[in-house]
Amino acid sequence: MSLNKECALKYLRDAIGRDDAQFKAGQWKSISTLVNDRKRSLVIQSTGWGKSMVYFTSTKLLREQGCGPTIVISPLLALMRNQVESAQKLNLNAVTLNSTNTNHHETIKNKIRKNEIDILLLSPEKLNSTTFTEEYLSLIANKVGLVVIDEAHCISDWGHDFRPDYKRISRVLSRLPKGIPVLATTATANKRVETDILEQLGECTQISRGPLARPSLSLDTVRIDDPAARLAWLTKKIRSLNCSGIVYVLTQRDAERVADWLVQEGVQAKPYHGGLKQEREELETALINNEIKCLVATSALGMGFDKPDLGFVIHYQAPNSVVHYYQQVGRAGRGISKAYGILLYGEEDDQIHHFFRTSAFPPKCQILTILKYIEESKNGLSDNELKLSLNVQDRHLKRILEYLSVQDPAPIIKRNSRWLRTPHEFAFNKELIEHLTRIRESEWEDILEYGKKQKCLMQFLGEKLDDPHAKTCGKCSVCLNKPSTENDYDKETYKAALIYLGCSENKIEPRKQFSNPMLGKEFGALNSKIPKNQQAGTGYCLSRYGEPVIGKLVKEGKIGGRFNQELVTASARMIQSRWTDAKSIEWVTCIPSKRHPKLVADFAERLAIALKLPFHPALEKVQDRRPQKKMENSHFQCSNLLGAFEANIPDDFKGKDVLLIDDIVDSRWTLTIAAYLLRKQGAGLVFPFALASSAPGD
Amino acid sequence: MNKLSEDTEVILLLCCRLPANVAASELAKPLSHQEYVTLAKWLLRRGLSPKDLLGQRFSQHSEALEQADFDIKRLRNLLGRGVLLSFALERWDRSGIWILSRADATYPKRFKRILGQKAPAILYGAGNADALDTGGLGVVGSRDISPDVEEFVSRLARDSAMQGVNIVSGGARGVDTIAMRSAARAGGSVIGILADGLARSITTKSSREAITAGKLTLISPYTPEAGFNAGNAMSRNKLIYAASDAVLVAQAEKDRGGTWSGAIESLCNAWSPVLVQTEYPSDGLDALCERGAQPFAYENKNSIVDYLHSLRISENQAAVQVQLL
Ligand SMILES: [Zn+2]
Repeated sequence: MSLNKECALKYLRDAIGRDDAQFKAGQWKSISTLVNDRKRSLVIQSTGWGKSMVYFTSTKLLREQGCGPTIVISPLLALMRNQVESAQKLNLNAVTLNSTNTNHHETIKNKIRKNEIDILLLSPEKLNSTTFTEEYLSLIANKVGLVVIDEAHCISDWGHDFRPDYKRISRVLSRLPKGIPVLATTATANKRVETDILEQLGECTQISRGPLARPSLSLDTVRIDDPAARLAWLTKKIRSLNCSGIVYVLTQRDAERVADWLVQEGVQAKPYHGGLKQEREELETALINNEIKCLVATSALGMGFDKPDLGFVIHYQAPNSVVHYYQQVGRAGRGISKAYGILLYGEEDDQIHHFFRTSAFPPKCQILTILKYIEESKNGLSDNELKLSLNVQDRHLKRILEYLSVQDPAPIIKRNSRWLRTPHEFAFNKELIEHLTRIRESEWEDILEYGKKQKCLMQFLGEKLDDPHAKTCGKCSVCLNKPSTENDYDKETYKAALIYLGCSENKIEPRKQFSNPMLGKEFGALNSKIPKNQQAGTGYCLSRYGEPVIGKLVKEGKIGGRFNQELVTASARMIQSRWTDAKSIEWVTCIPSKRHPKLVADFAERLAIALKLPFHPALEKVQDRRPQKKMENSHFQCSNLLGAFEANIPDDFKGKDVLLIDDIVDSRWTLTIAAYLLRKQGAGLVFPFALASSAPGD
Repeated sequence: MNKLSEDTEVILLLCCRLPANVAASELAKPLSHQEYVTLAKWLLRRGLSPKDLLGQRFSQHSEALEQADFDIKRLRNLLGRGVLLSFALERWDRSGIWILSRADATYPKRFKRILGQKAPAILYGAGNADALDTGGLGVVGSRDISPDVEEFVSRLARDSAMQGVNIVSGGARGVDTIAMRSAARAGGSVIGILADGLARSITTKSSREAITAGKLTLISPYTPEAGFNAGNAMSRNKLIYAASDAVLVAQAEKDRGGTWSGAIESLCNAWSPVLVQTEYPSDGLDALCERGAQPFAYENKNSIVDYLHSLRISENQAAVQVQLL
């Protein structure tokens, strides 16, 4: 045994707290590659294998040899917090620099100067900021001992969650002089991803790859097309499980909706998704402490989440690939002997994934327009200048700029918050995009194949992930030859689910500001703020466009040119019985249209009758505009409405609260501006109401 | 991506100021040009090259380096800046900037031949690097110039461009800009040797278009983000002379300023013939003639190409192989 290995073993035992602990196969090989050979190592091992032990021990040994601190790049804040604590057991001083601890940054800087920091954990975003690299990295960069890339599959073009931030890191990596050891770790990488990572780390990289099977997991999969049946099935299943877990869904909206449903059925469930910010940590803690039964989560509940006694992971909808599925289902049963992984899927999943796939890449014409715009500017353009002059959705703009700036070579760069064109040529890589789309399609087909249950489910997952150790598990529904449970739900619950899906009204929060001060002035306000007494009140829309039951009726009415009476009845019932704030309404009006002058007005008139209120068309469309749905960002949506309407209120209605009706609400600008005009003309409170909100893709 | 040679990597680690705007007191001080030359000579004598200092190879030579009075700790610190360098390289690459070191075969041969050990260890650039070995007419002068001289400079640059002669200049306000701009407008090739702001310069619309069209080469011996510094401006003048077959001084103040001292330096070191225009004489230009500059009566010159050819140093001298690291 070499001296280093003896020391390393001592550290391992100190950290674990057991005198007889041994390295797992691969751990020491990796440490020795980093510390003795100063070379690069790639570790593909499932969570819990002890990847952090590799770099903790390596850091310890390298520090003893006089090397500088280790830099760990990880996308996971939650994981970072755990790492800082674990490192302390080895007397390693680990710190993280992020936007939530800015007040400590100066202290950390001083400690770096004094060489008191052993491990610096950073997010990829942080590492990409020029000020950061100059201020902090320059303090240690002449003696970085080890670079660790966590979740290294993200640097692969083929990786299942490719991130632009990682793209830059991989480019930095490939320019890193030899002699600086690098450790890349990931829990899941198939051959293709592995090859891609190796290309960036260099040929001499040492690899450690372990088995992926999770012996405690019982896998099953069930196809249920009817959404109400799926909800009912889910309820019964969760009630029968004597542990807590995660229900995965595909969209934020589904997270809210399914969680709501479960709560209605008496299950302690909470939604969890990227739209929630600070609450997320609390929600994770609540689940970890078994204070709730389950989180209904999007993939935002991700890689860093670790609860050893998580009892089940149920997918309410199928994820887009086997890699994703393995990662998510693999969170169950890490530290317990029995856990469940169930995949529900059905017709709608296919549509959702088709939409995700086709909108994954920005369209070529948009990319070229933006590029040309930057190219023709004299001194580059800021984000805001681009927004004001291009009719492109903000998130598309952001993604396209990101996409262009991470190309190698890059056609644009950002300097001093301006986008500049570089001398590099840009060729739109149609083949690459087609290739990536085909890969995504075949990944989706793998999931469908998993659903067919033709071989051991665990073995299927392992083989798709190129795990050489994949074999039958003996406890999945295929191995046990269990009959399918698709009809295993309660009929009463099913009826309740039908009703629940039927009334899916949701709130409309009108806007409180014009898109910018200039536009505010043109609308006659002082600045970008809409005065409080000229804002709309909180409104409601009755359904999601195109979704069962109401949403489908709205779609039919829109196409057929008349909304049927069932919609009038449902609207009146909702307004009278469930909308308490709307009691003060004294009259009804609607958004006018030149293209379809009767559609909304006719509906509003009938609704007024049902509500026993007078109807008055107080708004007039004075100028025809391009359809609001063709306006891609806030600025264009807001300015498209300038001068479009005029409001005229008879004296009898002045000061009285009004119900403002539209058919479909999307950006909320039309309702906001209409309410603003009505209130300026003397209307009382304005309560917006729409039949449906537009769904993505429509 | 242009993969750097290991030699270039090491020279960058030793000499490059990284990052450009952090106080030097916080960091290991990069080697000055003279310090680098001393080290390069030492390496050459022992049959080594810069890459032999990289990684764990360094320790094989550390004792010998110490005996030769090199500051081992400082060298080790500088060489340890790999992570920082890789970030800078990524950024430069992304902007379209390439790097050449004296250890590269593609480093401009003229610079080594004419400047010898004074040739900068590192060149940062954008555009066609081969153009740097094709010579041309250098045009230099003050920042503030009279309309007459301005007219003269743009006429000369335009005519040169039309005859296929490169215009070489320093990218500063005044004569430099006028010469470069009118040559570019006439469709000529331009070489700009910048004292500062390479990164900024290559993204302006006009430069970018000329670079893409293969008509402009911009280089600088200083880090692409470097700000203006009078010393740097002086010291890059030698590259204008080395890149040109002859350099015309359009306007200069006697005993003052960069134009004057650059011309004098070239005259002393015989880097390249110094010409002065005769249409709008001044005390400064007369004084340069007294020190050996040649009057350039443009109205009598039919062909700039032929004239430059007649001035060209004999080819044998060009054939001299200079071994420089
Ligand atoms: Zn099985």
